[in-house]
Amino acid sequence: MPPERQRLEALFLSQLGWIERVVAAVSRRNGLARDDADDFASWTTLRLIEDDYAVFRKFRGESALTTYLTVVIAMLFRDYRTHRWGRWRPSAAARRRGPLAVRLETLVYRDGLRLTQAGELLRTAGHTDLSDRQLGALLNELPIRQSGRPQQVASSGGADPPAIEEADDLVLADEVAMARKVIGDQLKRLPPEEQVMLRMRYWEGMTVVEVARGLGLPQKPLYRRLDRALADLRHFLEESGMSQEGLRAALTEWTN
Amino acid sequence: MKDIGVSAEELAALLDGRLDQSRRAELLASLGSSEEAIEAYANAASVISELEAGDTARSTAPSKAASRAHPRRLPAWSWLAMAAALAGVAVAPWLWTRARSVDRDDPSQFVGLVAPPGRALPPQWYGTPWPGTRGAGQPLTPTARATRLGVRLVDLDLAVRTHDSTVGQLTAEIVDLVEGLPAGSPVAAVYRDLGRRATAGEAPDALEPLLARGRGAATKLAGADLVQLGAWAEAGRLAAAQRNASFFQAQASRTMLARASGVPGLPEEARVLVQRLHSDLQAGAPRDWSGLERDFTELLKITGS
Repeated sequence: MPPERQRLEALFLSQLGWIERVVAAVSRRNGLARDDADDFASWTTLRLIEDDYAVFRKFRGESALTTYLTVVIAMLFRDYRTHRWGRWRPSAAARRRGPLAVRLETLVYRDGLRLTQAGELLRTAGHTDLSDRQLGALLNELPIRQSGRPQQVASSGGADPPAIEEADDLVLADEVAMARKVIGDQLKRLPPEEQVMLRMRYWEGMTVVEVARGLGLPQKPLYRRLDRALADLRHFLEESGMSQEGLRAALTEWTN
Repeated sequence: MKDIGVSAEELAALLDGRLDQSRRAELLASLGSSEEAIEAYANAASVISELEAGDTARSTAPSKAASRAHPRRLPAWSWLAMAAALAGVAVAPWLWTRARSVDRDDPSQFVGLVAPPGRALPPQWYGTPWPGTRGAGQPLTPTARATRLGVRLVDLDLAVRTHDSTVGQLTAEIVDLVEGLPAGSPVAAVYRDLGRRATAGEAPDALEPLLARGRGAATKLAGADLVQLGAWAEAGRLAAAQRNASFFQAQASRTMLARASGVPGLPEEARVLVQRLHSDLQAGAPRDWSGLERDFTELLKITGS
């Protein structure tokens, strides 16, 4: 084996422990079921070693190798998700409520399971002891989504849509999409760091601690900066002519 | 990896705080305008934060008394992160980690039954119960590959323990077998490394962690049931050659014998043979050792071909 390949292989092996921890954390954060997480792990491993360890070969040492691999795996996750499920992604609200909410949202909205089926799956897999009623309450805290999977016109009995009014859902989903676009437009008027800060906190559902770590900022003043940036955004949205109701819906979708 | 406008290394440098002010500002502007980039960045930042929190929790775990004296309130995610990190292997999904936690699927459980410390392998033990060559265009079936892997994992374990000269040959064969599996390359790399180190004369104890890691990963990749079956049959073949009755009385061996005929993917001919072995061995200690060795060899020939 050529010495360069041997070196890259050794580098890969030396990082296996970190890689598996990152893969597990990314899977958890994005609500992957165990089988999907296993599949993602294998898929990621292949990507990391393909083309003679190209990922490792490209590394120039401008960051810690562990950080670089973490970003690579996070980027790979986007590719994996698109490859498996198209444009589906968990909502920020579900992420903020933790892995159970992400998993529940995924089962109901992406996979089209009824709440009772989703509850059964989650309990059997040991993810929760909550009853269907309690899971329903959790689901109600999440934004209503359009299913990521094409629905059959005539259900054969196994894949009923979630227990919500479908026509209303679609209208709401449209409003939410519209609100998201308007927010995206107005966000651009804020300074870049404020934009990133708000997107990380509200769009991506990160905690303030995570945002602070991600941007290398002190945590305490960040609360005030976030509040200020949100107030500025509200002001821009009002300026853009958005109605009070639309504004409330938009910010609720964003910040809940 | 799809191009999202910024490189992974730039984002990593931002996360590590290694960019100068102007480069940082440029990158933040790019992040602000790309949903894809910010999502990847957010995912990475959350994960780093979670893993660091876990590491900190591990390295600074206070005593129980100290914990009671200074109760510390943490947000819910931090508890989750710490629990996940502390649980470590229990929540990690990938095969390396899983492999370390699944003793029942570990083929080495049979090795200890046929190789007590100090006992050497029978001379010229290394052999191939299955046909030595396959025609062009005849790839190994998954059943044959997994069975052969089980056989060679046991052989390798034994060879390492007894400093047998076949270690190089066995690791090369295992490399071939695992490279034919999806995601097998990293496992093959482990065995290459193992082969190098064993032939350089490293002590068996020093090689044990590598053996365990490779064994667990290979078993998971190829399918635990059939690898187990191959490992058990190879150990059974050796036990019969050694006239080793205690192997067949051991719990691990009896458990495998009881479930062997139900292993998915087992050829019908092999299933019938396993059922016959089951009823023969249940009747008491084996009497016809040569016949038993032939039966185990035949079982491997059927499943490994």
